[in-house]
Amino acid sequence: MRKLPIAVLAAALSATAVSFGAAAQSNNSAGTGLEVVDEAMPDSVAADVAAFQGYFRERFPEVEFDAYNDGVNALPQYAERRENWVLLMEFPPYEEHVERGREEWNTPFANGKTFADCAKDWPPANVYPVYVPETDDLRTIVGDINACLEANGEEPIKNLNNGKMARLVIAYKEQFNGERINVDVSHPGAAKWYEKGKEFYWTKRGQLNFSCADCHVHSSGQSVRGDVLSAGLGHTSGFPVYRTKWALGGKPLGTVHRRYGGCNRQVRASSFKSQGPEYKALEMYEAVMNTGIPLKVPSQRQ
Amino acid sequence: MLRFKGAFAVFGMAALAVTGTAVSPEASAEGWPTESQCRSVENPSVEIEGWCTAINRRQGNCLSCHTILVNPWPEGFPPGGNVAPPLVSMKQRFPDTEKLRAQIHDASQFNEHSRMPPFGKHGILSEEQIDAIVAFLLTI
Repeated sequence: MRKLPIAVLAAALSATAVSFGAAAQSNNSAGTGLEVVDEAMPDSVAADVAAFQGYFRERFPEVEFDAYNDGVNALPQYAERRENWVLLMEFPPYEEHVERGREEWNTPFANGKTFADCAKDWPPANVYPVYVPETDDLRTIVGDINACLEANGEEPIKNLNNGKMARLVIAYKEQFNGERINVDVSHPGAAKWYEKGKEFYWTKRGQLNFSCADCHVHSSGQSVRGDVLSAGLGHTSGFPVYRTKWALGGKPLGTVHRRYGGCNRQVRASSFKSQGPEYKALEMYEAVMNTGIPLKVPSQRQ
Repeated sequence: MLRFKGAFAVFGMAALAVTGTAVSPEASAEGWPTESQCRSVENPSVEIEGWCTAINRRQGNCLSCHTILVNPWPEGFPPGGNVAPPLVSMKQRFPDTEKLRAQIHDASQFNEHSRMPPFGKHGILSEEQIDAIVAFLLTI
């Protein structure tokens, strides 16, 4: 798990016909702090990352790499409304929820232990989802929180989408804000999960027949009526988020799987279970595509 | 001020509905109804029906991705998106009406990567609704 900062990838991305695999091998970089990739990232995955990130670099040349964690707010097509968002962030609407999450994080279980005791053994938030060879499964922070509760004789949280679970995930992830997303896909089992998520991302589904990529790659920055479609790059970096649309329904916070479910239903597909294999794989793929983007948790979204 | 005018337009539509005066194709020359006004249009022409189906968010929702150049644009009605090309000069662009219909029915038959939903193939719209949209599009 040695990490190396590579501006090399970045440099490769701006060029057109470059062998990305070769670029990822090179470890000498001269640029300003950009992507960080796992040295052991398989070449095919590194090439995917380079192609994905290069696409956005070309599509939105004025957007700084790190700014993608601001979601749609980073895009020039959203510039008119960006000012409102900047004002909103002076007193972020999620603050009270973050505070409450910290309290919950630090509240002892019946046995006197807290989440912090569990989290001492957890990987840093920026490397999730984490592949577990023994079970051929992916660890997510949501899963680890419930595992911690069960290990301490407490009831696991049933609602995996919003409320307390989202607050606790924020309480863990916010400790790693600024750390760059860097998921380990070096194990062949992890690569399988990655491929499964990649297939999900690019497959058209639902009555409206949209893939994730149709909107968030090919149409990113374009307007669907009054809304601007966000760029796929940066997607996972701010979750759980405070979403204004969700706030109107009284449940402002949501995990990334909650958002996936909403997206699937919007294209009139059936949604999958939160923390089920489909969304864990998708989270894996998106996180890998977001390699190098700094965490910014929670974030506000429309 | 604009909002005030908009309110009058809505009032006008409502008054038409109440007095039982149908919005005929002639009347449509005075203005295209908004999505909510569509609900109170009586005995609409097939073109107005097509327009109303096209702009309804639960039906065609064409404005999600396309702008539609009708004149005059209904006052206060939000414009369309820019994911897809504007719907303009349709008669000139589609001299073959069947091609236009087929594009709406299942755009993926011409381009498997098309981001246009297959409205007929996936049953998003009925055959009659598609016919009405085609009739409407050929008027703009």
